[in-house]
Formats: sequence, C-alpha cells, structure tokens
Amino acid sequence: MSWDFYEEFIKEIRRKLKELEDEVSNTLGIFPKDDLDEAVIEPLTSIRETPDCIIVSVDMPFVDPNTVEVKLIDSSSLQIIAHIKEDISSSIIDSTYPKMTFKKYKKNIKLPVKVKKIIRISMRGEILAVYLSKYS
Amino acid sequence: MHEIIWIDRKNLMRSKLADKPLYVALPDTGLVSLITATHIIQSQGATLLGFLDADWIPPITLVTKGDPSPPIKIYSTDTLNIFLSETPLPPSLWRLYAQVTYQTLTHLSSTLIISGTGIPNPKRLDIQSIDELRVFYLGKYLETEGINQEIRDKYNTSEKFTGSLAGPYSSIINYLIRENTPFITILVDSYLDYPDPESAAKLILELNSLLNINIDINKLLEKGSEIRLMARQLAIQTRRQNILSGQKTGSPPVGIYI
Repeated sequence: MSWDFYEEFIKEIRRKLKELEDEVSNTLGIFPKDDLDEAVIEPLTSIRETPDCIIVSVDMPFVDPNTVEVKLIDSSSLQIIAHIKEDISSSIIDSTYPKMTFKKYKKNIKLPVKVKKIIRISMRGEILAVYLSKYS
Repeated sequence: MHEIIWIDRKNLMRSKLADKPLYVALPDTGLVSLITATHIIQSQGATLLGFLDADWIPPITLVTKGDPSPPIKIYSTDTLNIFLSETPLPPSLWRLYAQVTYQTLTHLSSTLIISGTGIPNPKRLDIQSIDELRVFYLGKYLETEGINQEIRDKYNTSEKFTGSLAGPYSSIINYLIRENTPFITILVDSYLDYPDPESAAKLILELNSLLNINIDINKLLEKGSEIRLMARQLAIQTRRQNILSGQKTGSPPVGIYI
C-alpha cells in the first residue's frame, strides 16, 4: 500500500475524531457558554430523533415568546435567538460573572443528521420545540 | 475513607427518638429529588445535623451568603431526616454513597428510607399541568415491624413501576435490598435534560400524601423559572455523569415475560 493511502487514512480518522469531539461538546459540554460581552445566555437544549424528524427543544426561563427567532443556517445547524421578558441579574446565573444583566438567549445547535426544513415550531410554556424533517 | 461528622448532637438525639423516615436526595434526572429536598429544607426550616467527610467527595464547597459547607449534609425537620448531596457523583462512587446512606439510616435509628427521582419521559414537553404528571412507586420490606400502617396502605394502593431503573438510586436500592432495609422510591415524569421544578412539586404532593404532612408547593412553582436558570450547570453535569454510567432507565426486564 502507498504512503498516500496511510496519509488519507490518518486524515479520515482525524476528521471523524473532530466530528465526535464536536458532537460530545454539543451535547455534553460541562459549562454553558454565555456571552458576557453581548449579555447573552446560552440555553439548555435537548435533541430527540424519530424515524422521520429531529425534535430540538430549548429551555428558556423568562423568555418573551413573541421574540423567538428560529433559523436553519444550513442542513446541519440551527440558530435560536430570543429576548428575555425581564432583565436577569448575573448573580442568579453565575456568581463569578461581573455585575450585569442578561437580555437575550442565543444558541447555535449542531444537528446530529442533515435535515430538509423546519416543519413546526411550538412554545410549551418557556420551552421551545422545533421539529425538523430528515432526509430519507 | 469516610466519616459522618455530627454538629448538632442535641437534635440528633431528638431525631433518633422520633424515628423519622430518611429522605435521600442527590442530583439525578431533572434534579427532581434535589429540588424537592432543597424546598423541604427551606420551607420547613430544617436543622443541619451533620455532614459527610470523605476522601472521595468531589473538591467543592457550597457557600451561601459567605457561609461555607461541604456538599453532602444531613438535615432534620419535624417529620423527616434528609440525606442530601448537592453535587453530582460519578458512577464509580454510587455504591459508596449507597453504603453511606445505609450508615446514616442506622445512625439516625430510622426504619424507612424514602427517595424520589425523575423518570425521563420523552413526551414531558406535552404535559403542561402537574396533575397530568405520572407517578410510580417501588419499594420493599414494608411489612417490617415499625413501618406505619398508613404508609403501607398508601404504598399498596399506588401505581407500581415496571422497567429498568438506572442511575445513583439503583445503587442505593440494590444496597438496601442486600441489607433487608425497608424503602420506598417514588418516580415522577420529568424532563431528561432540564431541571424540573414542576416534577419536584408533584413529588412533594406525593410525600404530603404518603407521610400525612402539608408542605406548600406554591412558592416552588412561582420560583420555577429562576430555579431552572440557576440549575443549568448542575443539570448538565448530572446528565453527563448518568450518560457515563452507560445505563438507561426504561426498558422492561425480560424476566417479566417468562
């Protein structure tokens, strides 16, 4: 076998490992990545897969449901932005944060499989549910 | 190495004589048991009896308004003793925690362990009222002398759980079976990935009914959004530990078909 084969093989393994790392970080990140410069909270998210669709739910306490924006950036990533009804003090988010108020939620979500389009969006209390159809 | 450090011996003696059930709480699905315990401790003005000192406890100190405390503590109210871990424990420590739970029970001269946790319901999102949250019971050795007849009656008329149960409570239950110790575990529908104060409120209503007590849940429900926001990080850490255990709550044991 040629050296090129091994080089390609190693590249492929590295690519797969990077994908795995992104997936683990997306679903199992230990700490939320809030943006202190933009006063943005990263919400908790959960992804469930059915045979036909992907259901993404996003927990946004104190959200103003009329301000929720959902955007399919490409076939494998979704962006959620929403405003908070009342400003939230940093003291209830993380005591290491400087004194400030948070006004918005934002999260870019990497989807586990490629999707066609958003088929339904619903708010259940303060939890957003986005239904996306999968490629068959 | 571990040791229970008692800091309030006067109330410890009172608790021993009163023979109260021991409620066990630690971070698990939906943080249901932890939120429940915290609400009981705050609303009932619980007394801190002691804490656990062990070389295996994660290096974390909980500080409230400048007052530091270790993460695993023992509280007492008029009706319950509470054994509480405020930090998630890795699966490798669940068995040790179960042993310490049993030791705490014997130290307090309690005859019954009560625990409660969330059962991850994929359709939880569709349940908007706490009246619709399902509740299941499991338990053992409740015919043992000293168990209140009203508790037995309530248990006997409750809906029972069938399926596999994964997580720290499984380690506790398995250890209690080994020690022939009476216990009741209450499972309430819950979110898998989010803190669930509504499920905690439902669990408190069940404890009210089981123990003939009256703990108000209104403040817990009012503070629900704030609790969910404050507990974000803990929910992620807890979920991570449960995934690492490689087990899942739900599937029925094959043995029931044979």
